[in-house]
Amino acid sequence: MLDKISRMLKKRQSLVLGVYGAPNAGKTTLANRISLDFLGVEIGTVSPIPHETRKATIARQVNIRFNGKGVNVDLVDMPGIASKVDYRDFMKYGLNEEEAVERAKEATRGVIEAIQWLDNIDLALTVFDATKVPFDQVNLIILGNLKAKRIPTILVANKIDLPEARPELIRESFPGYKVVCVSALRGDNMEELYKAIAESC
Amino acid sequence: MKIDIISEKVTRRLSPNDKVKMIIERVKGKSILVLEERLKPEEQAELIKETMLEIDFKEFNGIEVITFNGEKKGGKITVVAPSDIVAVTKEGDFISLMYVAGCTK
Repeated sequence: MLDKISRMLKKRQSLVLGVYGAPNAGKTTLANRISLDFLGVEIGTVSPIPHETRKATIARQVNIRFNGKGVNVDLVDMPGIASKVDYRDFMKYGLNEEEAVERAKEATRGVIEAIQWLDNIDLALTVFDATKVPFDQVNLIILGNLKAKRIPTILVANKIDLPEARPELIRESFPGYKVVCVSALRGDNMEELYKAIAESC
Repeated sequence: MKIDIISEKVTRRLSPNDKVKMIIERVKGKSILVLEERLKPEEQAELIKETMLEIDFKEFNGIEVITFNGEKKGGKITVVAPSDIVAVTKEGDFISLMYVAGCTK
């Protein structure tokens, strides 16, 4: 699969790198880390409330480098994909009903936007919360659609700084994929992720 | 709440769009659907998109969906349920449907 990235990169100056995953997997934290490392700025707001990212956010011309090799990407932080959006879940975080419903409406539009973006990306980082069971149907739907569209993906086992993280479950559940374990929050092992992306060119 | 078990003979005759519409309509009507087929990833993505458009932030707040591959050819199912009524989980070869506590529907 990474061979395909390599062939694509040889043909193109930059590609569209989509950051996918379920809500609160750490997509924006990861996108911020990548953007901070190579552009010096963050691209999105992080929150413990699910669906904080409700519109796709783009950082353009991010030159991801490792050991002298580099690749230019337009980094797209996607809204989380979910099959349900219950406004009452947001009220548990202190939002009033009106705020919660508005957030839920925006979240449903975000889910649709993230799915539509699948037609426009060249490479995906599929982010997993390593403290949770990886065989979630949303993850299966994301990976199934990427495979059907022949879009290469690197699985990112995030939150490995937490003691309950079990990134090995992700490797066991998806044996055909390249899996990189990181803590986007602390920046742990990001070099391996940059290596996985940059070495493919 | 009721459970609809739908044969592949029925879904085979439907276009992907009509299949998604049929699923949404029944799930919004508080049915748990057991389809005798594994929905394709593209169909599941379409199902999620349509679900997002149908969420009314009152009675219908989304779906639970899960697919299952059996050992034998044709031994595949998809379960779709209203998330306000049941939570669906899959562990190994077991699919569990759990009534959502506090639900009055």
